[in-house]
Amino acid sequence: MKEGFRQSMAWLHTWSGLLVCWILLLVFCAGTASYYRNEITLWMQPELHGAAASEVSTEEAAKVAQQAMQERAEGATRWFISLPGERSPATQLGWSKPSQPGEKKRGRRGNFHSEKADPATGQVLSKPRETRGGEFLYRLHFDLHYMSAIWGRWIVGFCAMFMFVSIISGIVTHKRIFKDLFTFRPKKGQRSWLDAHNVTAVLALPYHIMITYTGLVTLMFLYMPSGATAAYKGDQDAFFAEAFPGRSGDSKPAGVAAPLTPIAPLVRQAEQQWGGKVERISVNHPGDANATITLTRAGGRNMSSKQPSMEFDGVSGKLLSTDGEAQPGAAATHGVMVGLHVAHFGGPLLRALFFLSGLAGCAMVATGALLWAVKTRQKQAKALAAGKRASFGLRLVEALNIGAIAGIPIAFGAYFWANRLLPVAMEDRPQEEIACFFGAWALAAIIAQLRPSRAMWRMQLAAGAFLLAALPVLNVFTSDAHLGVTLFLGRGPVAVAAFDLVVLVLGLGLAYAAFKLKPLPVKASKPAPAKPAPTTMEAA
Amino acid sequence: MELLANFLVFALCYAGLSSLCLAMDRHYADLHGRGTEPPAPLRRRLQWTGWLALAAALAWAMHLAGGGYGFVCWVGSLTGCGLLLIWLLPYAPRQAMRLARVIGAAAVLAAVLLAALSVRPG
Repeated sequence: MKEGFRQSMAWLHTWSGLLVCWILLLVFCAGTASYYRNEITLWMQPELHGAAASEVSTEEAAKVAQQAMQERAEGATRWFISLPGERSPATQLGWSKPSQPGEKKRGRRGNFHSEKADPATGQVLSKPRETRGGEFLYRLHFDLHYMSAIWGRWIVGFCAMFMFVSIISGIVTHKRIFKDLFTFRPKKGQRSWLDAHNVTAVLALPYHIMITYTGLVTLMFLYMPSGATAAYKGDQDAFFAEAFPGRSGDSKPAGVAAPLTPIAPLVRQAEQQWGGKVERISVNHPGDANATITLTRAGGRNMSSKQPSMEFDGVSGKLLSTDGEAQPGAAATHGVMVGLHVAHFGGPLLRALFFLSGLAGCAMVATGALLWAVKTRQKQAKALAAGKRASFGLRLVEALNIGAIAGIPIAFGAYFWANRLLPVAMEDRPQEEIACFFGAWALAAIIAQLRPSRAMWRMQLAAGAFLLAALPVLNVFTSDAHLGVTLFLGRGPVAVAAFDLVVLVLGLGLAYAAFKLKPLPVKASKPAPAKPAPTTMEAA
Repeated sequence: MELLANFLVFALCYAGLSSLCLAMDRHYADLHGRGTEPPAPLRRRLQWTGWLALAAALAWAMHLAGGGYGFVCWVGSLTGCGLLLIWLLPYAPRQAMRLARVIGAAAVLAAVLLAALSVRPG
C-alpha cells in the first residue's frame, strides 16, 4: 500500500509538473527579474543615469519638490510626490487637474501629468525614452500578455495551483530528502538531471513553498471570491473597505484659498515617529482651505506590503489621523504574505538571496522538464536504436523545452537590445519593445518545433548567451554609465553596473552550456542533451 | 561592521552545512577514498559542530534583524550556501572542504572582533 501511494504521488508529480512547466518557467523568470524591476527600468532609461549620483535628505527633497510643484502645477487638485530612495534616484512629481469644460478627455489618465525631477534642484530631468522597463516583466509575471489581465491571472493561478500540487507530491515522492541533500553527480546522464532537479528543489524548498502559496494569496480574492461574496451579499466594495481600511475618502474643497503649509517639517515629524523614511507624499486640494497632506512610509521596516501613513491638515499642519500601525489580524497576515512574495522589505542582501532562490526555481522547473524528456527517450531507446522515430509526445516536449528553456533568455535579451536600438522618437515605442520580446521568443519556439535537435539546443543557447553577455558592450555605446565608468572610475549608479554584471554572468552560464553540448562523436545521431551544467540551468 | 555582521551569518551557515555534509558516509568517502566511513566520535563531533553553527547563525540573524526578518535571512543564507557547497563538491571536493575550514575560522574571528567592537565604549 505504501509503495502504491508513493507511486501514485510520483505519477501526480510528473504530470502536474509537465503540463504547466513551460508557462511556469516564464512566470518564474519574469518574477525573478521583477525583484529588480526598478533597477531594470533604470538601466532601460540611460537618460537618467546621470541623475542617480546626488544625495539629498528626504526633508530637503520634500522642500524642493513642494517649490517645484507650486511653480509648475498651477490649479492642480492633487499632487503625488515620490521622494528619491535607495532604488529610485529621481524625485517623481505628478499632479492631476480637473478637466476644463470643452476640453476633450484623453483616456482615463488624460489629466494626469507626471515628470521626473532632480531631487536637489527640482529641475525637470531630460525626458527619458519611453519604455515599460521592468514594469513589463512584473506584469508579465501575473498578467501574461496579449490577453485580458483577468484571463492571464486565471491561467497563472491555475499553473501556480498545479505547481503547489507538484511540490507537495514531489516531497512525498522524494524518498531520501535528507540523505541526498548534498548529492550532485555530474556527467551521469539521467541521474545527473535528477540530482540537479532535487538539489534546486530541496535547497530552496522553503522559498518554493512560500512563493507559490503567497503567490496564490496575492490574488486570492479573484480565485476564491465565494466567502466574501456570501458574507457581504455580493458587495465587493464593502468587503474591501472593511478588510483593508484606508483613506477616509476624498474631502471636498472649501473653495477658499489658503496657503499650503511647508511639507518638510511634517516629513521630519513623521520620520521621527516612525524611525524610517517617508517615500510618498500626496496632497489633496493644495492651496485650498480644506487641503490635506498624506505621508506614507518607505518599505523595508517590516515584512508587510502595507506601510503606515499619516494624514495632516494642509493649512495648519496638524496631524489628523494615522493609519496602518495596528491592523486587524487577517489583514496583517495578508499583508505579510503579499510582502513576502514581492520582497519589498528586503535590503540588498536579502533581495539578492531571493533572486538566487528564484533562479533556483527556474532551474528546478527547467530540469524537471528536461528530466521527463531524458527519461522518456530512455524508455524508447530500443525503438530508437532500431531506427524508429521518437514518439509524437517526446518530440513535442523536446521542442517545447528548447523553445522555453533556451528561448526565454533569447526573449529577455531581445527586449533589452530593442530598448537600446529602436529609435528613441519612435511611435508607440514601449509596445515595439514588447513586440521584440515576443517576436524573438516566437521565432525561437517555432524553429525549435521544426527541428528539435542537439544542434538546435546549441544554437539557441549560444544565441541567448550572446544577447545577454553582449549587453554590457551595447551599454558602452548607448549610455554614459557603462562598466568602464561604473566599475573602474567608481562613478554612476550602482544598479546599472550590477545589471551589466548579472546579465554578463547569466550569458556566460548559457555560453558554457552551449559549449558543453559540443557535437557528439558519430555514435548517436539525435540524443537529448546529456550534460547537466548547474550554471546552465541557473541561467535558464 | 554591518558587513562583518552579515558575513558572520553566511560563514556560520557554510561551515555548518559543510560539517554536516562531511558527517555523511557518501561525502566522507568522496574525500577520503571509497568505502571509508567517518569514525563514530568524529561523526558525532561533526554533527554537533554543524548543528551548533547553524543554530548560532539563526540566533545571530534574528539578533541582527529581528525574529521574522532574521529567519527569512537565515533560510536564504542556507539556500545560497547550500547551492555553493553542492556546486563545489563534485568538481573540487578538497577545495570545498578547505573553504569550509577557512570560513569556519573566519567566523570565529569575526565573532571575536564583533564582540570586541561592541564592548568598546561608544
